[in-house]
Amino acid sequence: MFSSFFLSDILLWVYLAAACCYIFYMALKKEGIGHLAFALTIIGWIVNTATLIVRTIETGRAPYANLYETMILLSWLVVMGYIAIELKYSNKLRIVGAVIVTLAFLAMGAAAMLPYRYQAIEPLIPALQSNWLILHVITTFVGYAGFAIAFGIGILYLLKERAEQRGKPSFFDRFPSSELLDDLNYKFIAIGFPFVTLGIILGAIWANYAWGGYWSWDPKETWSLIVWFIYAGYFHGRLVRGWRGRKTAYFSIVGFLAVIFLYWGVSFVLPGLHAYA
Amino acid sequence: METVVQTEAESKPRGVFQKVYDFLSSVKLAVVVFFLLAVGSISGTIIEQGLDPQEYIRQYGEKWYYWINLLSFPNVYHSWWFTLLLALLAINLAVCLSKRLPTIWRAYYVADCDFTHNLVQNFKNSTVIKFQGGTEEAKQKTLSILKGHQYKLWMENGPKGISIFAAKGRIGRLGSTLTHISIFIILSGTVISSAMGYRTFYPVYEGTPLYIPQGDFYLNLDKFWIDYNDKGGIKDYFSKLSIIDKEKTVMTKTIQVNDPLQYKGIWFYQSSYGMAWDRIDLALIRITDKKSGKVVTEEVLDFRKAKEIKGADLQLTVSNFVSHFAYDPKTKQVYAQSPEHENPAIQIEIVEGGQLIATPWLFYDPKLQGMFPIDKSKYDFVLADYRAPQYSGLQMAKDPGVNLVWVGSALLMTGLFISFFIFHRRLWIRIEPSEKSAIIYLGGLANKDAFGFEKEMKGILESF
Repeated sequence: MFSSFFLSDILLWVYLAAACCYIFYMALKKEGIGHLAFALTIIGWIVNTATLIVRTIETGRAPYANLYETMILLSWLVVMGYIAIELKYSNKLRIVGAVIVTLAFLAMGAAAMLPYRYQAIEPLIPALQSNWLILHVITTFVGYAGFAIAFGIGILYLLKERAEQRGKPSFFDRFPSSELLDDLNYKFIAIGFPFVTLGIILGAIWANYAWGGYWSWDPKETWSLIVWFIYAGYFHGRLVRGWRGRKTAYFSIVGFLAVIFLYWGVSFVLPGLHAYA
Repeated sequence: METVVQTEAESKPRGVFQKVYDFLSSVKLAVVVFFLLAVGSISGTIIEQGLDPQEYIRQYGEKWYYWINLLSFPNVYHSWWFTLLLALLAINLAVCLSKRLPTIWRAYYVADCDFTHNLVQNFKNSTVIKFQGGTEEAKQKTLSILKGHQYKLWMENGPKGISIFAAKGRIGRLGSTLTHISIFIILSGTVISSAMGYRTFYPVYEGTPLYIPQGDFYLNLDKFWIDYNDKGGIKDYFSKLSIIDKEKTVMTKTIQVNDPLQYKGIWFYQSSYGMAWDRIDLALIRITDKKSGKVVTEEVLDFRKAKEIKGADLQLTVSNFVSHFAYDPKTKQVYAQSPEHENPAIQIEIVEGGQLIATPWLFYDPKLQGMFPIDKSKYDFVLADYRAPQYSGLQMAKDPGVNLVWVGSALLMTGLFISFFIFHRRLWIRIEPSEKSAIIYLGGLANKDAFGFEKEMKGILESF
């Protein structure tokens, strides 16, 4: 049987190959390469699934207990989100894959470069021995994945909108229209936000049960609230004041940078109660 | 003249009131408060919270400390300005809700069938269909198509034509209202938590019952133990606790992290464990004769229990212990600088020849031993070893606001789900007779998901 480390190495290369295909597809505009890219993405996602399953068998528990394991989960969710777009919009949005699969590749690359002690299979520390772990982590990461996809689409939006304004034929012609990208950007944030909110609430319930307080202003808690405020601001701007396009695209990028800090930055720079990941 | 003056006098204060009202209910204020709360929260993760003033002075200097202290940066999340921002958020929420509620209610509740085809054609999404058949047929066809799309229908037959109003997902309108009410509930829960709740940490020792004044009962730690895994790492740790109320054991439970005990609304959580910093079980004292330099005896002493040393005319008592020796010159007190066993020391009372001659501190660290000989005694004393008891670190908490927070959280999730995934769509249809056929005017509005609505409209048209 393959180990999860071996599988995640393979996964890294599959996502890299898929990302390269997407970039060639963008440059050469050949449908065949696009199909190959999508096929590689599907293979990658299957390997990603296998990695999670093997890790579960190896550890004998849900594989979400450290930074390395959650990165595998995040790339799995992000790629699944992209596959859903691809199936729903039948090839029209294939270029979104170029950004999303690149993100998945970067996520796996970052996970592979983590020091071994962040990757090793360790038994769960007492604080994590709870069924709340699965609920809290899954909801939070579905939220992160939504924000990650919105971030990718936000970048595409800015590129496309600039090209549309110039009005000349360009590299970005095959991108979906900026209206569609704007709409999708909103939709993924609208998925991410309730899930991250639920993740925070579940975390609070768990903290109350494990530590005797639902909120301690721990850096992880505080930063999750900051992220929440950013996206809450986004919704007020968009739904009440009618912000569209560039403004909301920038918002989705800033919001995701805050998510990256919440996820990685806090773990390394501001460790607190939530020091495991 | 008089009436003019009166209205002016009346409208002037109303103008100010209106301005304040508009400001307090504005979305701009909400976004600005979000921004300030985010920045304030970030400051609390950059500036370390809850340190001693000296530590801030050391890190930032005297001058900066003045500002840090003035703006409560050592305790950002409970500072006056952070509380003020949260209060502003709550006021903003309440005022905004009161302002928008009538509009939301109207959009939710009112079915409007009093309109002409002009109104229908004004919508962004609108079309005109030439229907081959009479108005009655056109009406039946329209109704069946819209029913197929799960629309709720209202109808009015006029002399010049038929008006149909169709709506679905109108509960989506209430999503944002529910969300905002829920935030208000969560905030009130946190206010109750901080006003009436408490959290205390207790190091609890086996066999020493702890009185809990808030509940008028005793908590006894029957046993504390640690389970190790194969690699020798800590797998889990447990405290077997008993509640003694009115001299009767009313409850016994083994708690661990993620499995607390609750009695009379007071919760006890397994939080940590460690070695005592203020007491020991046993101390091993080596007694040497000053003249001969020979070891007279090695004695095991219990904590705070006098012991006669045979053949030496001595009585010794270990009266105090600190795990990390420190001396405060102001109060002339010895205290433990930290719970770590960095520099353990005991204080002993030496009674020699029937008289208390000294109460020196003895250090465990060999480098510090024998530094302070006791002049009045024939002997030298050395702390050769000691054994400190293990405590179980228990967090005690009572939080009357927590249930309100959970209710608010449940409503928040419901509100978010409703407002993001249920879209309010409204259609206005006017059917008017034309020679031998009918003209159907169809127009609509969606509060969200314009793309999805356009798609649905296309589908409806195709069905015609």
